[in-house]
Amino acid sequence: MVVPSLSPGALDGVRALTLVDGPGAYGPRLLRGLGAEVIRLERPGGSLQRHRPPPSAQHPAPSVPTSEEGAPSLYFLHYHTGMQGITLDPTAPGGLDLLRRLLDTVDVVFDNGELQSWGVDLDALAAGPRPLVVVSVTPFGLDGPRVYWQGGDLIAQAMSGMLGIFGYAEERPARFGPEQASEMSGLAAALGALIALYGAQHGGGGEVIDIAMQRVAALVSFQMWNASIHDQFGFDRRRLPRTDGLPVGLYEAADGYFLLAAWRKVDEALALLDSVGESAGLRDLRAELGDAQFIAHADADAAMIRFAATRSRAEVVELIQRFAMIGLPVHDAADLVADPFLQSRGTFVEVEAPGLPSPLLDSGAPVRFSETPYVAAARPPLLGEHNSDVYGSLGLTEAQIAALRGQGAV
Amino acid sequence: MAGMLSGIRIVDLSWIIAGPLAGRLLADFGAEVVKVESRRRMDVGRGNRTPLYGELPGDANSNPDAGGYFQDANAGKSSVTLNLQSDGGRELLLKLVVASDVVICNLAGDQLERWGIGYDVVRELNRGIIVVNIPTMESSGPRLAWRGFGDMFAGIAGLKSVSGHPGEAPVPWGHNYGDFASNPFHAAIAIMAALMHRDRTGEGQFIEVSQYESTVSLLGTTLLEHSLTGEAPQPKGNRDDVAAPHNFYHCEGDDSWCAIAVESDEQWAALVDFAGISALADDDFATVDGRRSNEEAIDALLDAWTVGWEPQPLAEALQQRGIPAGPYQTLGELVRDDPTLSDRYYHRLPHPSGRDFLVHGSPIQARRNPADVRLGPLIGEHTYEVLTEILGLSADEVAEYAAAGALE
Repeated sequence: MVVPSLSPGALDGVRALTLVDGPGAYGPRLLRGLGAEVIRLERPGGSLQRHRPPPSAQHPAPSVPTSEEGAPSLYFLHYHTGMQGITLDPTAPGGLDLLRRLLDTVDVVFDNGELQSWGVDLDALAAGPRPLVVVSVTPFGLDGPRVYWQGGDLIAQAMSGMLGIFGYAEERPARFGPEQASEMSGLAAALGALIALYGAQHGGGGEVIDIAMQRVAALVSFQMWNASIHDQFGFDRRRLPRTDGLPVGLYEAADGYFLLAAWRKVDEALALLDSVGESAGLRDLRAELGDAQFIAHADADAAMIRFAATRSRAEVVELIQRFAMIGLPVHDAADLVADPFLQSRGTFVEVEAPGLPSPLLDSGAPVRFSETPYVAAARPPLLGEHNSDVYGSLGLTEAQIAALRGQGAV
Repeated sequence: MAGMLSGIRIVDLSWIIAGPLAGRLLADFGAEVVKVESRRRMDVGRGNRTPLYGELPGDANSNPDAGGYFQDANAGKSSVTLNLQSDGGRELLLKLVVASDVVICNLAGDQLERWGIGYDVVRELNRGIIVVNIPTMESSGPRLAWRGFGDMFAGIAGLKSVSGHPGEAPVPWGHNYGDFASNPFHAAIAIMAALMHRDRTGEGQFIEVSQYESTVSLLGTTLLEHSLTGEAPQPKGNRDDVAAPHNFYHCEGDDSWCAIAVESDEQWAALVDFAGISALADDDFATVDGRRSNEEAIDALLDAWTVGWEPQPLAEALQQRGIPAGPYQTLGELVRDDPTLSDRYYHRLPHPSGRDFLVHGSPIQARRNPADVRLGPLIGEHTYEVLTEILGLSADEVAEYAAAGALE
């Protein structure tokens, strides 16, 4: 799939404004990558995220400055590449009017509930003469019985069932991944925005998309199907074993872990073990026990463990796939950037980080389109870098912008 | 109800969860999603045939219309059965694809070409067609036939390397995350972006959602951190870079926990006041830096206090005082007794089989054009309707295809 590098992205012509300073930041990041123009609004002092770790106190990297001139934290860097940056304080005199003028020029706005908290009527905003899609990401939604509850990723993971099937019985639950309730909310925000934009472009008017982190993350606890029939709620972490016996579970190769699932594929598992000389005695054992007992037998598991122990994850997984079973390695960040498969796809991109001598490596396109490119990463905006451009495009003169600056609105 | 996506027709050739869920997310908002199936090789979800869950009572393991997760991932779709091993079945599939806007599949290998609906073929007949494949690794190349499933993508894509407690082996089995998050969402988002591009240009496209690559995209700052420090980030348990204390605390009962996340000195002061434990009122703990350096000591003191509470009332009491907190919940608790989800997210839909099915609502709440959550189809329920109304076949022609075995 060769993509002409200068062609516009799939969302060319879409203009978005984001106020997101917390959960859901992946949504606007993704829209930017798909070709939308995205303007990042910060209060005049700058987003707290410009100062947010990592690097953290435990993992110091003093070479990263976090000055107000805009040298970003890794968090700010990741979620804001390629955006335009403006400052605006809607609580200052003239600030809310300016925000409304700006909203008249965009197709979609993302926030974490700020607009509602400033007294903006979201439904009226969406129903205005120019269709506007308002996407708001909050812990429990814009209304409902927990509208006043606070919480970030930890609370959403706890309350969504996301951790109900992750971990072990009686062990203190521990979070899944880097802020995955927040990342999922970003995915839902992006999808909600595009569905509503499509509806608006086909005559449906504007829309308010209410993304509640708890609700989005609850999609993961997908044991419904069993509950549906028997009013039982499937398995949970209280019953999850560390491995399920051959041939399903977590195994260790010479250079790390891999996951194997070979349900009922006893022939295939034996063929693999034959090919590496580890199947001695197993066929007799299978004949004696039958498949169901055989796969749970320690000798069968031991053969798989021996086979893997002397080989790399890459070799092991290559063989598992060749013998028509399902298995994939467990990677960390170092494994990922060293993986020739991802390198050959161009998964990683260099991102210019203001204040650092050389660019950093990050993920690029999550999805490949045959006709439209993913927008290559650029650096995130400096604080207020595009004030003149963006406010100028609203018809404001430099003098008017200066006056607003005097009032603290910009 | 018309819905924001009315007028979009999607042919869904995918199965199990990741692919079907992508179509379901769009069906909720009015897209017409036609699931193409065969009685000869049914969606695994139709019979609950997932060995992890074991044998189920009654005919639940064999009745194709009794699959609970099938219902959830295919809610609101129609079903047409086509035998793609037959010439007639492939002929009808090609007609259907040409009459549609989008094709979703999660196929290993060159299955689309073998069915005669490879992208290049279809594009000649329908310039605007959008074909989405969701392979494990890639749609062409040496790994086109590789297979994986949801939980493994959290492993290969690095999410497990920064999950769980520090120093422990990765959690082997979890929630099949890739099937519910990265892959169906990226596929649905890509479809919407491609539809908007088609509106502007008239051109469709081929979209590849490599489940490995798509899940790598959800690593947040993990890759940047590695790039900066040269070290692969490790699990931090429940520690946060900003908030402290920030953990799960033991409550009364087995495996019973409450999450508490203190994000400011004011919240900390409120917590100290409410808990009434003098040791917490230590001046060393008054600032976030002080709390971060004493997190284990604080955790021990909080654990000793929370164990006298049940998680729900504790979280309620803390939230009333402005302190972020929430009970650890499993699915059963969410369905039966959660004020924000039980009646507002889960739908209990009566089904012709006599069973009620529990189905998720949409994760996306649209106020003016809300999601419409409907039952999934019986197998082949809409075959006649699709062939006559979409493809314009006569009743006699349908009967001929049926007699030739094309509709099995």
